Amino acid sequence: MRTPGRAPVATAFTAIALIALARSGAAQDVHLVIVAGLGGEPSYAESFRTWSSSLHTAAEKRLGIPRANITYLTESPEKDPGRIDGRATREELARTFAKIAGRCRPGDTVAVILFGHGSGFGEEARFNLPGPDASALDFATWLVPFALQRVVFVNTASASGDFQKVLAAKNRVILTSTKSSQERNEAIFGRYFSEALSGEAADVDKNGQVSILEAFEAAKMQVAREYQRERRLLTEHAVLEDGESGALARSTILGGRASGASERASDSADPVLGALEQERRAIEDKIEALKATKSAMPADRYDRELERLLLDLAMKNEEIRKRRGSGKP
Amino acid sequence: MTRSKALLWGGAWAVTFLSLAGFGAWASGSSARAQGRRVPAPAVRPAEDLSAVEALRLGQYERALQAGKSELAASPQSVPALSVLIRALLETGAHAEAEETVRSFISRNPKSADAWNTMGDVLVVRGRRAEAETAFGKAIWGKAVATLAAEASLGVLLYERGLRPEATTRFERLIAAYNAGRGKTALDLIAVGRACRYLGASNPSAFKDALKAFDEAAALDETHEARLRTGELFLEKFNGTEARSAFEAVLQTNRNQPQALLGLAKARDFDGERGVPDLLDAALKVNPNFVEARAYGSGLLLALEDFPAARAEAEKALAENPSSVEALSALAAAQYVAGDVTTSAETRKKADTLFPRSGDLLVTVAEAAVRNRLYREGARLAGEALVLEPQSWSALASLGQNQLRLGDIDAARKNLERSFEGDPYNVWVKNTLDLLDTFVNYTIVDSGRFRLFLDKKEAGVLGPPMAALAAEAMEKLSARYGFSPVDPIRVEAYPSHADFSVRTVGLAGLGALGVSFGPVVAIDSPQARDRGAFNWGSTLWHELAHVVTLGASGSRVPRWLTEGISVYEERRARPGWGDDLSIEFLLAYQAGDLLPLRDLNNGFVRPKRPEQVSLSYYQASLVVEHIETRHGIAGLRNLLKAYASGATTEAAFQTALGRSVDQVDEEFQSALKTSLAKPLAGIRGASSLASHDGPAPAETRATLEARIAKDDNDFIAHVSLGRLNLRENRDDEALKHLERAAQIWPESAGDESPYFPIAEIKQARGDQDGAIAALKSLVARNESHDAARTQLAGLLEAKGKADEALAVLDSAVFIYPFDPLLHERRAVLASRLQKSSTARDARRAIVELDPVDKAEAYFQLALAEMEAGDRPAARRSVLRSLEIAPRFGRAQELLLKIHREGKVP
Repeated sequence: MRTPGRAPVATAFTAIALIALARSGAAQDVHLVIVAGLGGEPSYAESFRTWSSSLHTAAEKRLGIPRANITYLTESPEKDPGRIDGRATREELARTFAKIAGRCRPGDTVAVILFGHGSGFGEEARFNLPGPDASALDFATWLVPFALQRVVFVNTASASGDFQKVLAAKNRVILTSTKSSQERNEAIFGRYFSEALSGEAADVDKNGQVSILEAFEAAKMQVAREYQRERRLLTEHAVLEDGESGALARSTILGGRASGASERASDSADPVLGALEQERRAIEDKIEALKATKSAMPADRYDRELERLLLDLAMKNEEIRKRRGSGKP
Repeated sequence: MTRSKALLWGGAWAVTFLSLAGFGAWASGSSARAQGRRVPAPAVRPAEDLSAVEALRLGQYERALQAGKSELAASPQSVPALSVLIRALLETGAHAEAEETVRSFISRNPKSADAWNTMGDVLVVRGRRAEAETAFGKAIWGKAVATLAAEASLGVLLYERGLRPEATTRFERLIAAYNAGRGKTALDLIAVGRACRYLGASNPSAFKDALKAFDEAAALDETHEARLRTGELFLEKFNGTEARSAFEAVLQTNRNQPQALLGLAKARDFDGERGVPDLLDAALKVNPNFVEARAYGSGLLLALEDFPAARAEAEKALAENPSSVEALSALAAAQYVAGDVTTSAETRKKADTLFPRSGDLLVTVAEAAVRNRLYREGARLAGEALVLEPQSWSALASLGQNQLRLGDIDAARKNLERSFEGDPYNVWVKNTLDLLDTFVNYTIVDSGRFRLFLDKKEAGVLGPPMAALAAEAMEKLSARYGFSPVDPIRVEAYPSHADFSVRTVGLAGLGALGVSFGPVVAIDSPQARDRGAFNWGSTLWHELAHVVTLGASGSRVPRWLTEGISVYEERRARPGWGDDLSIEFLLAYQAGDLLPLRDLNNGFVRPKRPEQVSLSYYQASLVVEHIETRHGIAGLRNLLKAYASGATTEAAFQTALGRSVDQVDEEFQSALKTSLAKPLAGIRGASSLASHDGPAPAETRATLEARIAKDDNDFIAHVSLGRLNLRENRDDEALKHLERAAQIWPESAGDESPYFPIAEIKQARGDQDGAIAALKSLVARNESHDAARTQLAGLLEAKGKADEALAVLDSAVFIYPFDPLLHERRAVLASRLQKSSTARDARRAIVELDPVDKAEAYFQLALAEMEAGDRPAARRSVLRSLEIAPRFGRAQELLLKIHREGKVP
C-alpha cells in the first residue's frame, strides 16, 4: 500500500457497521479460496502448508466462514484429505472461480489468498503451481465475473508485485508481498498475514474484528521486525491497493464477531437504545474529528478534550449496557 | 558542501586537470606510458652484472654502491653516475660519505650546476637547510638539467621556513614551465607533483594534480621516488588502502626499500594491524640513520607508554638531522606526554625558529597526546597549531576530532567542515562529517549527570535501563576510587557498528565494543551486533570505569591498568559479567605466552597475535584483583594518585604499593600459579576443541577415547567426545562425558562449556532440576548467553520460582532489550510478584517497541502504572489506548475508574 491516508471516519465506521450487520443477518457471504502453490524444496512446501492450513482453521473457527464457502487447494491434497479440496493446478483454479461465480450473489466478498513462489514480469507475472503456472492475466480473467462482488486478492508469493497493476479494479483490494516482480527472494509476508487473520493481535481498533487493512499493516510490521531481528536487508515490501487510499481495505472484514454485534440486532426494537447508539456514534465522530486536529493543537489541550470525549463515550457505553441489561425493549 | 566527491578518491582520475595544460594529454592517452617509454624491467642477470641504477632499484645495495663507485670512477664527470651513487649512499644511511662524494665531484667539476642540486638533497638530509637553499639556488642559477627539481626543493625549504609567498611563486613557476612544454623526465614530473602538493594547501584540486604527476612520473622513473611520494600523499589523507598499494608496489621490486617499509608500517599502523615494529626494524637495518623511521618509532614507543625509550629514539633521530621536523616533533611529543612540558616547549621553540609558520609539530604532539588519552590537551595543542598556521587543515581536523571526543559536537562540526572545505580528501574527516549528518536520527536523554545520546528508535527502550545502570555504576565506582567527575558524562550508543567505528577511529572496521574519551563514552548499541554477541550493560560499566580511572589519574593511567580495572569492575558489578577464565588463557599460561607485567601494555597496543589482546585484558584484570587483594582498594587508589602526580610506573608502584613492578609481578605470578592449579590439571594442551558440528579435524572418536583412557582428567577430550555423542544422538554417552568435563573444570563458561548441552539432554529427559542446575552454572559465568537465560527462566517459572525467573530475565535486558516477548514475560512475572515498578518498566518497553496491538499495550501499561501508584501516568496511557481504539471496553472502564476515584490532579 502506498501509505493510504486515513479515510473519513464516519464513512469507515458506517461501512464496518453495515458489513457487520449484513453478515450477522447472513445477507452477504464471504467466499474464500486458499491456495498453497508449488513448494519446490520441502522446507518451503512445509511453510506454505502450515500457513495456509492455519488460515483454513481460522477461517472456519474464528472468522465463521461456512466450510462450503471455503476452497482449499494445495500441491499435495493427500496430506490432509479431510480439509484439502483439491490439487492446486491452473485447471482446478479455473474451475474453482467458475464455481464460485455461479453461486455468489451481488454484495458478497470473494477472497483469494495465495501462498507460494512467484516468477515472471508484468502480465506474465506468475504464481507457481504444479503443472502450468497461473499468470496474473489468468487471475484477471477468472475474476471478471465478480464485478458485483467485493474482491480481496492476496498474493503472498515472492515476486508478486506485478499482480497489482494487472488486477486493479473498482471494489477490489489487492495485496502483494512485494512491490514488484524484482523482489524475488523468499517472502515471509504470508506467514504473518495468516497469523494476523487468525488471532486478535491485529485488531488494533478493538472492535473484535480484523479488517484486511489491519491484517496487512500488522503483517507488514512483523515482516520488517523479523528482517531487523535477523539483521537482514528488507527484500520484500508488501503493497496494498484498493483505489480508495485504504478505506475499502479498512472496511473489509472476512468475518469474526464484532463487539456488541449480537446486541445491535435487537437495538432496533428499542427506540431508547437506538437513540443512545446514535449519541454514541456522534461522540465517536467528535473523537475522530478531534484526532484529525491533533498536530495543530497544544498537547495539553488536546488531551483534555480527548479525555472529556472519551469519558462521554465510556459513560454512554455504560448507559447502553445498563439499558440492555434492564431487559427493557 | 558536497562531500560525495571525495569518495571518488583514488578511482576517478578522469577529472579535468585544470591547472596544467600539458596534463590534458596525459588523460587522453598520449602519455609516456602510451608512447612506449615505460622503464623496462631489468632482465634477470647475475648481481655482479647489474648496473648501479638496476641494483639500486632491486635493493641490492652492496652491488649498487660498488657499481656506483666504479661507474663514477670510470666517468668522473658524469652527473647521472653521481646521482645514483648518492642515492645509494643516502638510502643506506651513509650521509657523511654522500656529502664527501658530492664535494669531491664539485671540486673536480666546479661548473656542474646539477651537482649542486644533488648537494642540496644531501644537505637537507644532513639538516643543513640554509646551505641546502644556497646549493639549490646555484643549481637553478647554473641552469642545471634538473632545474625543476631544484626549484621544487628550494620552494619546499622556503615554504617550511615560513616564506609562503616566495615558495608559492616558485611552485607556480614550475606549473608554468610544465605548461610551456618543459618537464618531460621523471625528475621533472616529480618536481611538478611536489609543487602541486604544496599548492594543494590553498587549492585542494591541486592534490589531484600532484597524484597525477606522480603517477605519470612513476612510468618513467628508474628509482621508486614517484611511487613513494604517491604513498606519502595518500597517507597524508588517511587513505591507508591506496597508500599501502603504492608502497607494496615498490616493495615488490625492492623488498628492502627503507621508505617503502616505513610507509607500509605507517599504513598498517593506521589500520591497526600488527607487524609495524618489524617493518621499522627492517627499514633501519638498511638505513640505520633513517631519521623519519626513528621519529616514527619514537611515536610507537610513546603509544606503549615507554616514555624514556621514546625520547631516546627521537634524540637519536635529531642527532642525525637536527632540523628534521619529524625528529623535533617526536621529541616534543615524547617530552610532553611524559609530563615534561618545559623541555617540550623548548623543543617547540627550536622548531619555531626553523619552521616559524608551521603547525605540524603541534599537530604531531596533539595526536601523541590523544594516543595517550590526553584529549583535552590534544584539543588545546591543535588550537595552538591553528594560531601558528591558520590554514592547517590537519590542525583543524585534529581540533574538530578532539572536540568531538570531548562532546562539543557543534564546535567539532564547524571545525571539521572548515577542514573539509580546505582539504576534501581527508577520508577521516569525510567519514566523521558523514557520521555527524546522521546525528539528526538521535536524541538526548538527560538523566542526572548523564546525557544519553541514543538513536530515536532505540531511546525509549534503551534509555531507562541505561540511565539506571549508568547511575549505579558511577555511584559505586566513584565511591571505590574516590573520584567523581564534575562534568556531565555523555554516553553515545550506535545501532550501526560502522558508525561506532567511525566515531572512534574515523574509519570502519574497529573490533571494539566501546570507547571512553574521558567525559564521553561511546558503545555499540545492542542492535549493532548479532543478538547474544555481547552484553551492553557490562560494556557500559567497563567504559564508565575508564571515565573514573582516567579522571582520577589525570589521564595518566597506563593502558593495562585502566583496562584491568575496567574488566575487574565488570566482574564485580554482576555475576557473570566481565572476562572469565577461558581455555585460551589456560593454554596461553601453560605455553608461557603471558606477558610480564612490565610489558603488559604491548598486549594492548602492539599484540603479536590477535588473541593476545583478550588475554591481556583478562591478565590485567587479574593483576588488578591481586593488587586489591594484597593492598586493598587503597592500593589501587594510591596507584592512580601516583600516576596523576606524573610518576612513572616504577615510581608509582613504589609509592603506592611499596614494591617494584617486578616484585608485584612475581607475587602475582605466584598467586596465579596457585589459583590456576586446579583448572590446569584438566587441560592437556590441545589447541582446538570439537565444534558443535563435530570434533576438530585431527580428532576422531577413537583418538578421543584413547586420550580419555590414558587420562580421565582430560577436559577437552571429555567435552569433545560428549559433543560428538550428542550429535550422534547417543545421549547417555554424551551426558557421561559432558558431566565429567564439568566436574574437571566447573568454571568453564566459554564456547567450550559443557553446561548448555548438559541442560539440553536433561531437559529432554524431564530432569528439570538438572537442567536448571546446568544453566545456572552457565549464566553465572557467561554474560551474553541469551538462549541459556531464556531457557532457564522458563524452567524456573515452571518450577514456581517466579522471583528467580524474573531475575534471569532482567539480566537478559542487558543482552538484547528489543525483544517484546522478553518484556511481556518480565511484566507478567513482576506483576505476579507485586514488583510493580519492574512491571511498569517492562510494559513501557513494550509500548516503546511499537507493537502491532498498541491499544492493548498502552492499556496494559496503564494497569501497571496504576499498580505502581502512578495514576497520572495511568491516565495518560489509557488515553493513548483509547485514542487508538475508542471502543476498547476494558480501557473505557479503567478511564472511568481513574476519573471516578477523582485522584487525578
